[in-house]
Amino acid sequence: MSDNDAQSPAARDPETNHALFSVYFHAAGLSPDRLPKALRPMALQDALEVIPRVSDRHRPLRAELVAHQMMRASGIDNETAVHRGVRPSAPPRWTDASVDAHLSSRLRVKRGVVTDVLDHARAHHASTERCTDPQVTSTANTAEGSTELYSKVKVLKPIGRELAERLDPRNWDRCRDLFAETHEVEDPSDGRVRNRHGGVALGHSWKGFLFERAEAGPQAVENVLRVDFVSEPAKLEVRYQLFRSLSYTFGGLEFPGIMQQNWGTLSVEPDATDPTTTSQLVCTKTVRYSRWGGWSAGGLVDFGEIFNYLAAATLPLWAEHLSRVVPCCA
Amino acid sequence: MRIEQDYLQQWISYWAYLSNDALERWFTTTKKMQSGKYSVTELIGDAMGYYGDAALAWYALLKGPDPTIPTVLFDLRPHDNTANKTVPIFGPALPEGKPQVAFLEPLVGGGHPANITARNCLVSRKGYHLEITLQDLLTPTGMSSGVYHGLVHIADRPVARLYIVVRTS
Repeated sequence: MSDNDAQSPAARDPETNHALFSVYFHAAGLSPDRLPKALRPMALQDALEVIPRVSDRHRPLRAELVAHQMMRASGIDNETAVHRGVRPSAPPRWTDASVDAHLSSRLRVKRGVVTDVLDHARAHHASTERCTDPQVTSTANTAEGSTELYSKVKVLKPIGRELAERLDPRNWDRCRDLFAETHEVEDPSDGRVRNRHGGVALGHSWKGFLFERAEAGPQAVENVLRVDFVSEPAKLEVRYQLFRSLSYTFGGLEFPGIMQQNWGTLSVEPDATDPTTTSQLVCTKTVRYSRWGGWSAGGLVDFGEIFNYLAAATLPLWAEHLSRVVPCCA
Repeated sequence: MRIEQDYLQQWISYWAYLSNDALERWFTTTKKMQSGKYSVTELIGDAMGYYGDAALAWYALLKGPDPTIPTVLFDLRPHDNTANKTVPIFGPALPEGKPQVAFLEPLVGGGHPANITARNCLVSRKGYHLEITLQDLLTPTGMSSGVYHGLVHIADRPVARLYIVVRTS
Protein backbone atom coordinates (compact mmCIF):
# COMPACT_ATOMS: atom_id res chain seq x y z
CA MET A 1 0.00 0.00 0.00
CA SER A 2 1.40 3.41 -0.87
CA ASP A 3 0.96 6.56 1.18
CA ASN A 4 -1.33 7.85 -1.51
CA ASP A 5 -3.57 4.84 -1.13
CA ALA A 6 -3.80 5.55 2.54
CA GLN A 7 -4.71 9.17 2.05
CA SER A 8 -6.72 9.22 -1.12
CA PRO A 9 -10.13 8.22 0.30
CA ALA A 10 -10.06 11.14 2.68
CA ALA A 11 -8.83 13.41 -0.07
CA ARG A 12 -11.76 12.40 -2.30
CA ASP A 13 -14.40 12.90 0.34
CA PRO A 14 -15.00 16.48 1.51
CA GLU A 15 -17.31 15.32 4.31
CA THR A 16 -14.60 13.10 5.80
CA ASN A 17 -12.06 15.87 5.51
CA HIS A 18 -14.40 18.23 7.26
CA ALA A 19 -15.07 15.67 9.97
CA LEU A 20 -11.36 15.11 10.61
CA PHE A 21 -10.76 18.86 10.67
CA SER A 22 -13.66 19.26 13.09
CA VAL A 23 -12.27 16.73 15.55
CA TYR A 24 -8.83 18.33 15.42
CA PHE A 25 -10.44 21.70 15.93
CA HIS A 26 -12.47 20.62 18.94
CA ALA A 27 -9.58 18.62 20.38
CA ALA A 28 -7.42 21.71 20.33
CA GLY A 29 -10.11 23.62 22.20
CA LEU A 30 -10.43 26.32 19.55
CA SER A 31 -13.35 28.67 19.22
CA PRO A 32 -15.31 28.43 15.95
CA ASP A 33 -16.46 32.05 16.25
CA ARG A 34 -13.29 33.28 14.57
CA LEU A 35 -13.89 31.31 11.41
CA PRO A 36 -16.05 32.20 8.41
CA LYS A 37 -19.35 30.32 8.46
CA ALA A 38 -18.41 28.04 5.57
CA LEU A 39 -15.31 26.82 7.42
CA ARG A 40 -16.81 26.26 10.84
CA PRO A 41 -16.41 22.73 12.18
CA MET A 42 -19.32 20.37 12.58
CA ALA A 43 -20.35 19.25 16.07
CA LEU A 44 -17.90 16.77 17.59
CA GLN A 45 -20.45 14.02 17.95
CA ASP A 46 -21.50 14.39 14.31
CA ALA A 47 -17.87 14.26 13.25
CA LEU A 48 -17.34 11.04 15.17
CA GLU A 49 -20.26 9.54 13.31
CA VAL A 50 -18.79 10.45 9.93
CA ILE A 51 -15.26 9.16 10.53
CA PRO A 52 -16.12 5.45 10.82
CA ARG A 53 -17.84 5.64 7.44
CA VAL A 54 -14.53 6.32 5.68
CA SER A 55 -14.63 3.83 2.86
CA ASP A 56 -11.35 2.39 1.75
CA ARG A 57 -9.91 -1.06 1.76
CA HIS A 58 -8.62 -0.66 5.30
CA ARG A 59 -11.96 0.05 6.75
CA PRO A 60 -12.88 -0.67 9.48
CA LEU A 61 -9.38 -0.76 10.97
CA ARG A 62 -8.65 2.77 9.79
CA ALA A 63 -11.92 4.11 11.08
CA GLU A 64 -11.47 2.36 14.38
CA LEU A 65 -7.95 3.60 14.93
CA VAL A 66 -8.65 7.14 13.78
CA ALA A 67 -11.72 7.31 16.00
CA HIS A 68 -9.77 5.97 18.92
CA GLN A 69 -6.93 8.41 18.35
CA MET A 70 -9.28 11.33 17.96
CA MET A 71 -11.21 10.35 21.04
CA ARG A 72 -8.11 10.23 23.16
CA ALA A 73 -6.97 13.59 21.84
CA SER A 74 -10.42 15.02 22.45
CA GLY A 75 -10.73 13.60 25.94
CA ILE A 76 -13.99 11.87 25.02
CA ASP A 77 -14.80 8.95 27.25
CA ASN A 78 -15.65 5.53 25.93
CA GLU A 79 -19.28 5.73 27.10
CA THR A 80 -19.98 8.66 24.82
CA ALA A 81 -18.23 6.88 22.01
CA VAL A 82 -20.19 3.68 22.58
CA HIS A 83 -23.36 5.68 22.55
CA ARG A 84 -22.43 7.10 19.16
CA GLY A 85 -21.36 3.70 17.91
CA VAL A 86 -17.69 4.44 17.32
CA ARG A 87 -16.09 2.74 20.28
CA PRO A 88 -13.03 0.72 19.33
CA SER A 89 -13.76 -3.00 19.46
CA ALA A 90 -11.43 -3.73 22.33
CA PRO A 91 -10.26 -0.52 24.00
CA PRO A 92 -7.90 -2.04 26.57
CA ARG A 93 -5.98 -3.68 23.73
CA TRP A 94 -5.05 -0.30 22.28
CA THR A 95 -2.10 0.94 24.24
CA ASP A 96 -0.07 3.90 23.02
CA ALA A 97 2.56 1.52 21.69
CA SER A 98 0.12 -0.64 19.78
CA VAL A 99 -1.66 2.37 18.31
CA ASP A 100 1.69 3.78 17.18
CA ALA A 101 2.68 0.47 15.66
CA HIS A 102 -0.56 0.15 13.70
CA LEU A 103 -0.60 3.74 12.61
CA SER A 104 2.94 3.66 11.33
CA SER A 105 3.13 0.19 9.85
CA ARG A 106 -0.33 -0.34 8.39
CA LEU A 107 -1.82 3.05 7.86
CA ARG A 108 1.40 4.95 7.19
CA VAL A 109 0.30 7.69 9.55
CA LYS A 110 2.49 8.56 12.46
CA ARG A 111 0.97 9.64 15.72
CA GLY A 112 3.40 12.53 15.66
CA VAL A 113 1.44 13.96 12.73
CA VAL A 114 -1.68 14.15 14.86
CA THR A 115 0.27 15.64 17.75
CA ASP A 116 1.96 18.19 15.49
CA VAL A 117 -1.36 19.33 14.06
CA LEU A 118 -2.81 19.71 17.53
CA ASP A 119 0.26 21.54 18.86
CA HIS A 120 0.25 23.89 15.90
CA ALA A 121 -3.46 24.56 16.31
CA ARG A 122 -3.01 25.22 20.04
CA ALA A 123 -0.08 27.57 19.43
CA HIS A 124 -1.98 29.50 16.79
CA HIS A 125 -5.00 29.69 19.05
CA ALA A 126 -2.84 30.98 21.89
CA SER A 127 -1.35 33.64 19.61
CA THR A 128 -4.75 34.88 18.51
CA GLU A 129 -5.78 35.12 22.17
CA ARG A 130 -2.79 37.30 23.09
CA CYS A 131 -2.81 39.51 19.99
CA THR A 132 -6.25 40.92 19.41
CA ASP A 133 -8.18 43.48 17.43
CA PRO A 134 -6.13 43.32 14.23
CA GLN A 135 -6.59 45.88 11.48
CA VAL A 136 -4.89 45.51 8.12
CA THR A 137 -5.05 47.73 5.06
CA SER A 138 -3.10 47.10 1.88
CA THR A 139 -3.17 49.51 -1.03
CA ALA A 140 -1.80 49.29 -4.55
CA ASN A 141 0.18 52.39 -5.47
CA THR A 142 -0.32 52.46 -9.22
CA ALA A 143 1.98 55.45 -9.75
CA GLU A 144 4.97 53.67 -8.22
CA GLY A 145 3.86 50.15 -9.16
CA SER A 146 4.20 49.13 -5.52
CA THR A 147 1.90 47.87 -2.78
CA GLU A 148 1.72 49.46 0.66
CA LEU A 149 0.53 47.81 3.84
CA TYR A 150 -0.52 49.25 7.16
CA SER A 151 -1.48 46.99 10.04
CA LYS A 152 -2.24 47.50 13.70
CA VAL A 153 -2.81 45.01 16.47
CA LYS A 154 -3.18 45.05 20.27
CA VAL A 155 -0.68 42.85 22.06
CA LEU A 156 -1.77 41.78 25.50
CA LYS A 157 1.72 42.22 26.88
CA PRO A 158 3.52 45.32 28.16
CA ILE A 159 6.71 46.55 26.49
CA GLY A 160 9.52 44.75 28.25
CA ARG A 161 12.28 42.25 27.85
CA GLU A 162 10.05 39.42 26.58
CA LEU A 163 8.45 41.48 23.82
CA ALA A 164 11.79 43.05 22.88
CA GLU A 165 13.35 39.60 22.47
CA ARG A 166 10.45 38.34 20.40
CA LEU A 167 10.41 41.32 18.06
CA ASP A 168 14.18 41.41 17.60
CA PRO A 169 14.44 40.56 13.87
CA ARG A 170 17.06 37.91 14.64
CA ASN A 171 14.31 36.06 16.51
CA TRP A 172 11.54 36.28 13.89
CA ASP A 173 12.14 32.62 13.02
CA ARG A 174 11.45 31.51 16.59
CA CYS A 175 7.98 30.20 15.73
CA ARG A 176 9.15 28.83 12.37
CA ASP A 177 5.87 29.55 10.66
CA LEU A 178 6.56 31.92 7.76
CA PHE A 179 10.14 32.82 8.64
CA ALA A 180 12.19 29.64 8.30
CA GLU A 181 15.45 31.36 9.14
CA THR A 182 16.56 34.82 10.26
CA HIS A 183 20.01 35.73 11.55
CA GLU A 184 22.49 38.59 11.54
CA VAL A 185 25.12 38.64 8.80
CA GLU A 186 28.26 40.60 8.05
CA ASP A 187 28.15 43.53 5.60
CA PRO A 188 27.33 41.76 2.28
CA SER A 189 28.50 44.60 -0.01
CA ASP A 190 31.16 42.33 -1.51
CA GLY A 191 28.49 39.85 -2.61
CA ARG A 192 29.15 37.25 0.08
CA VAL A 193 26.67 36.50 2.83
CA ARG A 194 28.46 35.38 6.01
CA ASN A 195 26.93 34.78 9.41
CA ARG A 196 27.86 37.29 12.07
CA HIS A 197 28.73 35.88 15.44
CA GLY A 198 28.89 37.65 18.77
CA GLY A 199 26.38 40.43 18.16
CA VAL A 200 24.55 42.22 20.97
CA ALA A 201 22.22 40.15 23.15
CA LEU A 202 18.69 39.48 21.90
CA GLY A 203 16.24 42.26 22.61
CA HIS A 204 18.87 45.02 22.74
CA SER A 205 19.27 47.78 20.15
CA TRP A 206 21.40 46.90 17.13
CA LYS A 207 21.97 48.03 13.59
CA GLY A 208 23.21 45.83 10.79
CA PHE A 209 22.26 43.25 8.20
CA LEU A 210 19.74 40.44 8.50
CA PHE A 211 19.47 37.30 6.38
CA GLU A 212 15.88 36.10 6.08
CA ARG A 213 14.40 33.01 4.46
CA ALA A 214 10.62 32.99 4.24
CA GLU A 215 8.74 29.89 3.12
CA ALA A 216 5.13 29.49 2.02
CA GLY A 217 4.17 26.18 0.42
CA PRO A 218 6.60 25.29 -2.38
CA GLN A 219 7.90 28.86 -2.54
CA ALA A 220 10.77 30.41 -0.65
CA VAL A 221 12.48 33.78 -0.81
CA GLU A 222 15.88 34.72 0.57
CA ASN A 223 16.78 38.34 1.22
CA VAL A 224 19.32 40.42 3.03
CA LEU A 225 17.79 43.37 4.86
CA ARG A 226 19.41 46.44 6.33
CA VAL A 227 17.93 46.64 9.82
CA ASP A 228 17.86 49.22 12.60
CA PHE A 229 16.34 47.78 15.78
CA VAL A 230 15.70 50.23 18.61
CA SER A 231 14.81 48.81 22.00
CA GLU A 232 13.89 51.38 24.64
CA PRO A 233 11.89 51.06 27.87
CA ALA A 234 8.84 52.73 26.35
CA LYS A 235 9.28 51.91 22.68
CA LEU A 236 10.39 49.17 20.32
CA GLU A 237 11.02 49.91 16.67
CA VAL A 238 12.38 47.99 13.69
CA ARG A 239 13.23 49.95 10.55
CA TYR A 240 14.17 47.73 7.64
CA GLN A 241 14.88 47.98 3.94
CA LEU A 242 15.93 45.45 1.37
CA PHE A 243 19.68 45.36 0.80
CA ARG A 244 19.63 42.60 -1.83
CA SER A 245 17.08 40.04 -2.97
CA LEU A 246 19.13 36.84 -3.05
CA SER A 247 16.86 34.23 -4.57
CA TYR A 248 13.37 33.02 -5.27
CA THR A 249 12.78 29.27 -5.14
CA PHE A 250 9.80 27.35 -6.46
CA GLY A 251 9.95 23.64 -5.73
CA GLY A 252 13.44 22.55 -6.69
CA LEU A 253 14.04 25.47 -9.04
CA GLU A 254 16.05 28.46 -7.87
CA PHE A 255 15.90 31.83 -9.61
CA PRO A 256 17.51 35.21 -8.96
CA GLY A 257 15.65 37.37 -6.45
CA ILE A 258 12.69 39.23 -7.90
CA MET A 259 11.95 41.67 -5.09
CA GLN A 260 12.84 45.22 -5.96
CA GLN A 261 11.36 47.06 -2.98
CA ASN A 262 10.79 45.82 0.56
CA TRP A 263 10.96 48.45 3.25
CA GLY A 264 9.02 49.68 6.23
CA THR A 265 8.78 49.80 10.00
CA LEU A 266 7.46 47.78 12.89
CA SER A 267 6.86 49.77 16.04
CA VAL A 268 5.40 49.03 19.45
CA GLU A 269 4.21 51.59 21.95
CA PRO A 270 2.16 51.29 25.15
CA ASP A 271 -1.56 51.16 24.40
CA ALA A 272 -3.32 54.35 25.46
CA THR A 273 -6.21 52.50 27.14
CA ASP A 274 -4.09 50.23 29.35
CA PRO A 275 -0.36 50.95 29.06
CA THR A 276 0.64 48.64 31.92
CA THR A 277 -0.63 45.42 30.34
CA THR A 278 -1.23 46.17 26.65
CA SER A 279 0.86 47.45 23.74
CA GLN A 280 -0.03 48.68 20.29
CA LEU A 281 1.95 47.19 17.40
CA VAL A 282 1.96 49.10 14.11
CA CYS A 283 3.46 47.69 10.95
CA THR A 284 4.11 49.42 7.61
CA LYS A 285 5.57 47.78 4.55
CA THR A 286 6.04 48.61 0.88
CA VAL A 287 6.92 45.98 -1.71
CA ARG A 288 7.47 45.90 -5.45
CA TYR A 289 8.55 42.97 -7.60
CA SER A 290 10.60 43.27 -10.75
CA ARG A 291 9.57 41.76 -14.06
CA TRP A 292 10.49 38.09 -14.28
CA GLY A 293 12.33 38.10 -17.55
CA GLY A 294 12.83 39.78 -20.88
CA TRP A 295 10.99 37.00 -22.70
CA SER A 296 7.55 37.84 -21.40
CA ALA A 297 5.75 40.00 -23.89
CA GLY A 298 3.03 41.69 -21.92
CA GLY A 299 2.65 42.78 -18.34
CA LEU A 300 -0.21 40.39 -17.74
CA VAL A 301 1.80 37.24 -18.36
CA ASP A 302 4.95 38.23 -16.54
CA PHE A 303 5.49 36.22 -13.38
CA GLY A 304 6.95 39.16 -11.46
CA GLU A 305 4.01 41.35 -12.45
CA ILE A 306 1.63 38.65 -11.25
CA PHE A 307 3.34 38.91 -7.85
CA ASN A 308 2.67 42.65 -7.96
CA TYR A 309 -1.02 42.09 -8.75
CA LEU A 310 -1.34 39.62 -5.89
CA ALA A 311 0.70 41.62 -3.38
CA ALA A 312 -2.33 43.41 -1.93
CA ALA A 313 -3.79 40.01 -1.04
CA THR A 314 -0.61 38.27 0.11
CA LEU A 315 0.87 41.05 2.25
CA PRO A 316 -1.78 40.69 4.98
CA LEU A 317 -0.53 37.11 5.47
CA TRP A 318 2.92 38.52 6.18
CA ALA A 319 1.43 41.13 8.52
CA GLU A 320 -0.57 38.42 10.28
CA HIS A 321 2.62 36.53 10.96
CA LEU A 322 4.76 39.43 12.09
CA SER A 323 2.13 41.20 14.15
CA ARG A 324 0.34 38.21 15.72
CA VAL A 325 2.47 35.07 15.52
CA VAL A 326 5.93 36.52 16.22
CA PRO A 327 5.02 38.51 19.34
CA CYS A 328 2.43 36.08 20.64
CA CYS A 329 3.20 32.49 19.63
CA ALA A 330 3.56 30.05 22.52
CA MET B 1 39.05 38.57 -46.63
CA ARG B 2 41.26 40.16 -44.09
CA ILE B 3 40.80 38.37 -40.79
CA GLU B 4 41.31 40.17 -37.51
CA GLN B 5 44.17 38.71 -35.59
CA ASP B 6 42.18 38.93 -32.38
CA TYR B 7 39.33 36.89 -33.84
CA LEU B 8 41.57 33.97 -34.82
CA GLN B 9 43.24 34.05 -31.43
CA GLN B 10 39.90 33.95 -29.70
CA TRP B 11 38.70 30.99 -31.69
CA ILE B 12 41.89 29.08 -31.05
CA SER B 13 41.72 29.90 -27.38
CA TYR B 14 38.18 28.53 -27.30
CA TRP B 15 39.62 25.15 -28.31
CA ALA B 16 42.24 25.61 -25.63
CA TYR B 17 39.40 26.16 -23.18
CA LEU B 18 37.76 22.94 -24.38
CA SER B 19 41.00 20.99 -23.88
CA ASN B 20 41.36 22.44 -20.43
CA ASP B 21 37.74 21.59 -19.65
CA ALA B 22 38.24 18.01 -20.86
CA LEU B 23 41.30 17.61 -18.65
CA GLU B 24 39.50 19.00 -15.61
CA ARG B 25 36.55 16.66 -16.19
CA TRP B 26 38.96 13.77 -16.55
CA PHE B 27 40.73 14.54 -13.25
CA THR B 28 37.40 14.90 -11.43
CA THR B 29 36.12 11.66 -12.96
CA THR B 30 39.29 9.78 -12.00
CA LYS B 31 38.98 10.90 -8.40
CA LYS B 32 35.32 9.87 -8.28
CA MET B 33 36.03 6.50 -9.89
CA GLN B 34 38.75 5.78 -7.34
CA SER B 35 36.34 6.43 -4.52
CA GLY B 36 33.58 4.45 -6.27
CA LYS B 37 31.24 7.45 -6.46
CA TYR B 38 31.07 7.83 -10.24
CA SER B 39 27.72 6.80 -11.68
CA VAL B 40 26.34 6.15 -15.15
CA THR B 41 24.19 9.28 -14.81
CA GLU B 42 27.29 11.40 -14.23
CA LEU B 43 29.00 9.76 -17.19
CA ILE B 44 26.11 10.71 -19.45
CA GLY B 45 26.03 14.23 -17.96
CA ASP B 46 29.76 14.73 -18.53
CA ALA B 47 29.59 13.41 -22.08
CA MET B 48 26.61 15.59 -22.98
CA GLY B 49 28.15 18.67 -21.34
CA TYR B 50 31.41 18.27 -23.21
CA TYR B 51 29.59 17.53 -26.47
CA GLY B 52 27.56 20.71 -25.96
CA ASP B 53 30.64 22.85 -25.36
CA ALA B 54 32.33 21.39 -28.42
CA ALA B 55 29.27 22.00 -30.57
CA LEU B 56 29.27 25.64 -29.45
CA ALA B 57 32.73 26.04 -30.93
CA TRP B 58 31.14 26.14 -34.41
CA TYR B 59 28.67 28.72 -33.25
CA ALA B 60 31.63 30.62 -31.80
CA LEU B 61 33.15 30.70 -35.26
CA LEU B 62 30.11 32.61 -36.49
CA LYS B 63 29.72 34.69 -33.36
CA GLY B 64 33.38 35.70 -33.24
CA PRO B 65 33.32 38.60 -35.70
CA ASP B 66 30.31 40.13 -33.93
CA PRO B 67 31.75 43.09 -32.01
CA THR B 68 28.53 44.05 -30.18
CA ILE B 69 28.14 43.56 -26.48
CA PRO B 70 24.78 43.29 -24.69
CA THR B 71 23.18 46.42 -23.33
CA VAL B 72 21.52 46.00 -19.95
CA LEU B 73 18.82 48.46 -19.02
CA PHE B 74 17.49 48.84 -15.49
CA ASP B 75 14.25 50.75 -15.17
CA LEU B 76 13.98 51.85 -11.53
CA ARG B 77 11.54 53.76 -9.35
CA PRO B 78 12.84 56.22 -6.71
CA HIS B 79 12.16 53.83 -3.82
CA ASP B 80 13.61 50.64 -5.29
CA ASN B 81 16.07 48.89 -2.97
CA THR B 82 17.62 46.41 -5.36
CA ALA B 83 17.35 44.99 -8.87
CA ASN B 84 18.77 42.05 -10.73
CA LYS B 85 19.36 41.12 -14.37
CA THR B 86 21.09 38.27 -16.14
CA VAL B 87 22.38 38.50 -19.72
CA PRO B 88 24.22 36.02 -21.96
CA ILE B 89 27.86 36.92 -22.60
CA PHE B 90 28.82 34.11 -24.92
CA GLY B 91 31.89 34.71 -27.06
CA PRO B 92 34.46 32.48 -28.69
CA ALA B 93 36.58 32.73 -25.56
CA LEU B 94 36.30 34.87 -22.49
CA PRO B 95 39.42 35.82 -20.58
CA GLU B 96 40.04 34.35 -17.15
CA GLY B 97 39.00 36.55 -14.27
CA LYS B 98 36.03 38.04 -12.54
CA PRO B 99 33.80 40.59 -14.23
CA GLN B 100 34.24 44.10 -12.92
CA VAL B 101 32.45 47.42 -13.25
CA ALA B 102 34.83 49.78 -15.05
CA PHE B 103 32.72 52.84 -14.27
CA LEU B 104 29.17 53.73 -13.35
CA GLU B 105 28.21 57.39 -13.31
CA PRO B 106 25.28 59.73 -13.94
CA LEU B 107 24.69 60.70 -17.54
CA VAL B 108 21.73 62.95 -16.75
CA GLY B 109 20.54 63.92 -13.23
CA GLY B 110 20.94 61.18 -10.65
CA GLY B 111 21.60 63.37 -7.57
CA HIS B 112 24.63 65.06 -6.07
CA PRO B 113 26.46 63.09 -4.87
CA ALA B 114 25.24 60.38 -7.22
CA ASN B 115 22.63 58.08 -5.69
CA ILE B 116 24.09 55.06 -7.48
CA THR B 117 27.80 54.31 -7.72
CA ALA B 118 29.92 51.30 -8.64
CA ARG B 119 29.72 50.31 -4.95
CA ASN B 120 26.03 49.53 -5.48
CA CYS B 121 26.71 47.31 -8.48
CA LEU B 122 27.62 43.67 -8.03
CA VAL B 123 28.59 41.62 -11.08
CA SER B 124 29.27 37.90 -11.26
CA ARG B 125 29.76 35.37 -13.99
CA LYS B 126 27.63 32.22 -14.12
CA GLY B 127 28.97 30.15 -17.00
CA TYR B 128 28.12 32.07 -20.15
CA HIS B 129 25.88 34.46 -18.28
CA LEU B 130 26.56 37.69 -16.51
CA GLU B 131 24.48 38.46 -13.43
CA ILE B 132 24.23 42.15 -12.53
CA THR B 133 22.76 43.14 -9.19
CA LEU B 134 22.12 46.66 -7.98
CA GLN B 135 21.99 46.58 -4.19
CA ASP B 136 21.38 48.85 -1.21
CA LEU B 137 19.93 51.63 -3.38
CA LEU B 138 17.52 53.47 -1.18
CA THR B 139 18.59 56.85 0.12
CA PRO B 140 16.58 58.28 3.07
CA THR B 141 14.42 60.35 0.73
CA GLY B 142 14.41 58.06 -2.29
CA MET B 143 16.59 58.34 -5.38
CA SER B 144 16.63 61.36 -7.69
CA SER B 145 15.48 60.78 -11.23
CA GLY B 146 18.18 60.46 -13.86
CA VAL B 147 20.09 58.20 -16.20
CA TYR B 148 23.35 56.41 -15.39
CA HIS B 149 25.70 54.57 -17.68
CA GLY B 150 28.50 52.11 -17.07
CA LEU B 151 30.64 49.34 -18.48
CA VAL B 152 31.28 45.80 -17.27
CA HIS B 153 34.44 44.01 -18.38
CA ILE B 154 36.45 40.85 -17.82
CA ALA B 155 40.16 41.65 -18.06
CA ASP B 156 40.51 43.64 -21.30
CA ARG B 157 37.23 42.45 -22.80
CA PRO B 158 34.09 44.58 -22.42
CA VAL B 159 31.15 42.27 -21.74
CA ALA B 160 28.13 44.48 -21.07
CA ARG B 161 27.03 48.06 -21.43
CA LEU B 162 24.95 49.27 -18.54
CA TYR B 163 22.17 51.86 -18.43
CA ILE B 164 20.12 52.66 -15.36
CA VAL B 165 17.06 54.85 -15.60
CA VAL B 166 15.51 56.16 -12.38
CA ARG B 167 12.02 57.45 -13.03
CA THR B 168 9.70 59.51 -10.91
CA SER B 169 6.56 58.37 -12.72
